[in-house]
Amino acid sequence: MFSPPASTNDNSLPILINQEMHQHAKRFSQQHPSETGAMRTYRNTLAVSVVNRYLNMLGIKTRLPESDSWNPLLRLANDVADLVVPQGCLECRPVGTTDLSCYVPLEVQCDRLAYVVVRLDSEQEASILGFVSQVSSEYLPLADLRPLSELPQLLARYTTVVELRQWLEGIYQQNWQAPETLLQSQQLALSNLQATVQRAKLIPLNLYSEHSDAVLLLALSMPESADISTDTMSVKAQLYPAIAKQETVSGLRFVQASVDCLLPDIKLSIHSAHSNLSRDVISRAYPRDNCIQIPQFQGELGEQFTLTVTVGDQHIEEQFQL
Amino acid sequence: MNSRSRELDRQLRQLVVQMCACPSGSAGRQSAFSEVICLVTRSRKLWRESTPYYPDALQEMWEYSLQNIDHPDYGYDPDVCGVVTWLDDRLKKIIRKHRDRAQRQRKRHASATQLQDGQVLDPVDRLVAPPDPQPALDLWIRLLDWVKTDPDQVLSSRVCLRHPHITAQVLLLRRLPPDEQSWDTIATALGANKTYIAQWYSRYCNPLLRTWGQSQGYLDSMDT
Repeated sequence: MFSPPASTNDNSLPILINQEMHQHAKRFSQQHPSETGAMRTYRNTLAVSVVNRYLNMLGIKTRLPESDSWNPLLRLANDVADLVVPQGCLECRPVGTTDLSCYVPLEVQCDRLAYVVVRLDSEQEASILGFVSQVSSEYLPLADLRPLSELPQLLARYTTVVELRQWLEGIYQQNWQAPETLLQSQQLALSNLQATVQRAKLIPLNLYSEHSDAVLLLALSMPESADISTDTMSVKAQLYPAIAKQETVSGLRFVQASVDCLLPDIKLSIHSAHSNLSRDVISRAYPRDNCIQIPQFQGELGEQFTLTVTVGDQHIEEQFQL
Repeated sequence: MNSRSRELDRQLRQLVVQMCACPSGSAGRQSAFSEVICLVTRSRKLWRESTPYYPDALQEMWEYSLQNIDHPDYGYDPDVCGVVTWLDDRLKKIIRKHRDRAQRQRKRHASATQLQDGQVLDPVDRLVAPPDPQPALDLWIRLLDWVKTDPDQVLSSRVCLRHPHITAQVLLLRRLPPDEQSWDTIATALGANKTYIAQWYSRYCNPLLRTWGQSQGYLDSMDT
């Protein structure tokens, strides 16, 4: 299927392709009725898998299950090879050993942080050639690629840390929505309606486990007379099952819970190195919880903390700065 | 050590110094480590074998090395050895662990058994044949059906403001197999700019597919 590389690029990074990567690629390709579609899916899946391995080597968290390239319907309707990371989305395009340019389909040319090119050298190995942050046509010359070692700096420009003080100014990032968008009225009744500001975010547990999706609700409180720029803030975190139904243009996606309670053994934890804070709460089996929460904590300006939702061995992390 | 090895070792030691000068988890450390991985891998000096667990062992070695390179007890010590040697030692330890695990698993699985009449039963004969690939195409068939019939008019009511004759349904019918029309073809046929239409498709059609997929439970049976 592959031929040996014609020449080697000094900046390229060889990555081994293991059996699991081949199995995924094969399974996904079998879902496509046409031969060209099947081959395209096979190559795209390998390219995404290879970049995923590379980012993991660098300790960069990836969210592969949330990627369109890992969604059977999106694969049928798009020539897509995306890889979701906390900062956004990378497109991972495959090339052959004799290609001088990389084909980038029009439908993946928006909403991407970068385009990473992967040369499929053989059944066992692929080389990451480099990346660009923008494309202007369907054919990206390989000579235009930036060295892979610059990718961490590019990703670092996009923050993954939610700056909570901005919420007090009405600025919300990274899909943090008004609570009523994601929670039903009986859930809102349990929330902190008296807090200064509350925002909710969908936690796509269903992509990582058998659980339905959940909603993380964060409530911030400061006394009205307080000075935003210096005083401490109090923070409260709650986790609810996602039972409201909503569809927005941005493609809010979730699986509706069949009952309005959390399944057991979902853990919500908070960790702050600054104040040596580490607490967690786990949803119960009997009786079931319709919400779990971390008790209120006071944080100082600039303090960072992390909230983690854990099911089984899968974690979804959200980072914050006060 | 020949001059090329010396040069490689010098570069690697310098990169490790750069790495350790940057905070753990920082882009600077990741970037320097990325160069280390690249130089070492391309040098082909690491132990290689063709066992099925080797790629995972190698991956584990890199992830371990990043986390532990400046560990006081088992981190890299430049006075003891070169960088490649340190990485190689870690790699061999991890390979041993994988090898032992593989051996234990082999012992647990059924070995070939001999029947009374002297016939030998190979466990492979008892394996179930791989499933018929036809169910894999089921998804496509159902998707196409949903797009064609559009029972809740979700697709036909998602209209492109700039080109009201273009709806999500119109585009999906052309892009999905069996048609799989190119953007050039679609743009010409519908009288629209291909870049604009492709972007509109990504932003307005894909979300509908995601929502429908989850409502149908297709993602529950998705492979992860």
